[in-house]
Amino acid sequence: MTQRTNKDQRQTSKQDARKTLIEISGGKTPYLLSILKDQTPYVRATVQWKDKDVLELPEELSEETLTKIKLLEPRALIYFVSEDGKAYEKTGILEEGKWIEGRIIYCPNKNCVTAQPKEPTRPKFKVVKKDPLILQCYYCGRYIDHSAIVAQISQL
Amino acid sequence: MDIDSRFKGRDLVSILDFSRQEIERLFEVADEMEKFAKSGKEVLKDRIISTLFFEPSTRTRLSFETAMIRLGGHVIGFADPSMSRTVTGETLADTIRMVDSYSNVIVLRHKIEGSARLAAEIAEAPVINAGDGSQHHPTQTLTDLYTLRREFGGIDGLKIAILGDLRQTRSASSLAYGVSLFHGVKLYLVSPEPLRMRQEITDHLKSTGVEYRELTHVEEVLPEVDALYVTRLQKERFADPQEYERLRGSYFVTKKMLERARRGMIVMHHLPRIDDIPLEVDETPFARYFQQAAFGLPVRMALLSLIVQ
Repeated sequence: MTQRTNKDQRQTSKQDARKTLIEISGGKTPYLLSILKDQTPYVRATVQWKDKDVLELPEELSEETLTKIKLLEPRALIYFVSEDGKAYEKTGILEEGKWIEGRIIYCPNKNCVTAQPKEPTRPKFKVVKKDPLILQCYYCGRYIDHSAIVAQISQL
Repeated sequence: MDIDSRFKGRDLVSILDFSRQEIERLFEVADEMEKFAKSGKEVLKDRIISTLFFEPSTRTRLSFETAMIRLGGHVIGFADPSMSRTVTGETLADTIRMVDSYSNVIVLRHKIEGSARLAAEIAEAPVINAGDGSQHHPTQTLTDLYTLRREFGGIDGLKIAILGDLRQTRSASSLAYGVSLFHGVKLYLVSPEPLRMRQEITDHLKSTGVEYRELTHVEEVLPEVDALYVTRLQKERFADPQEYERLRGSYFVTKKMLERARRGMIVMHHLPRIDDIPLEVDETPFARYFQQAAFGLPVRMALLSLIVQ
């Protein structure tokens, strides 16, 4: 019984060491918190460093949340800190030619089939350009620029 | 796999769904089909085509239906969506599921962009996009490329001016995509400023190495080009009717203007025309738009015979 408690404590201790660090441009934190929504209460620290904000969260974030962060701020740096305290930069979230699928962002073209509420579509976008960010809707082919993406994410 | 087998059951949503090699094979079959455009060739006996036209059409629908009949098959469908259950709110997806069980190939025209792609995801039968919004019109482009090939013996190296509503005309954007499959084509994109070709299409031209130039007045390139492709101002796609009225008549081609054209140049149009090409141009040696429309039949016969088999 004692042994099991010790083991559980050791696991809990390792779990506590894991965290996600997000470094974004200063002033973007309110947008970021709106993306994090339910996870906002768990933000452990917000540090201002030069013209950057650095947020610390107690666990790994979902792919969907990470994608939203990068859509909001393509230059954001995201690090996972593992149990042994080593930090790894999470890369490859927004790569040119890569597809973003799911209800993360919506095509603003009202004449797109994905904008028809009863049709069974799932939004899908190709990353055309990383900086400045341009996405292309799989269905209608229209471009969505970064300002439209930010406007949409901040309203979600 | 031989090249004809590659067509079997394929969807055609964008002209870029086909390779250059496949387009050239289709044109060879179209050459054959010209002989049977009046007499018929029963290679699709007992096959059924569904033609679902949610937007008006004359040439595209009639040529698809004629092509299927000439190939020995049958036609179901509608030319007026008010005669279908969509008026009661049935989704496109449900309509496609139903039609899929009735027919061997589905031809769809819809004002909503991406509708053909959605239909292709749902249907097991091949779906042919007969125009969706202002994006794609691959069978018009096949007809246009076939016309160019017939006139000039090939498409590589041609100088083509596309004139008019380049922002909203699907035949124009689809043609721009189509010529990107060939080598050394030079495009002149001629339009009033508000009707310039959309960035996603010019980006595609850049990424595929197609040389293009945007300009406002067609007169300056008439002595250079092999073909002048005129488009209609797309009244139905203007959100603001006043904007349409403002741009109406902002571009056109006259018999007088064509005096500057080089010998052998051809004038093409996806039709219908409004005030962009006056009747006087019909009698000039440049006019090819009626021949172009006629080529739609052997091209669609070739496409159906290869896809449905």
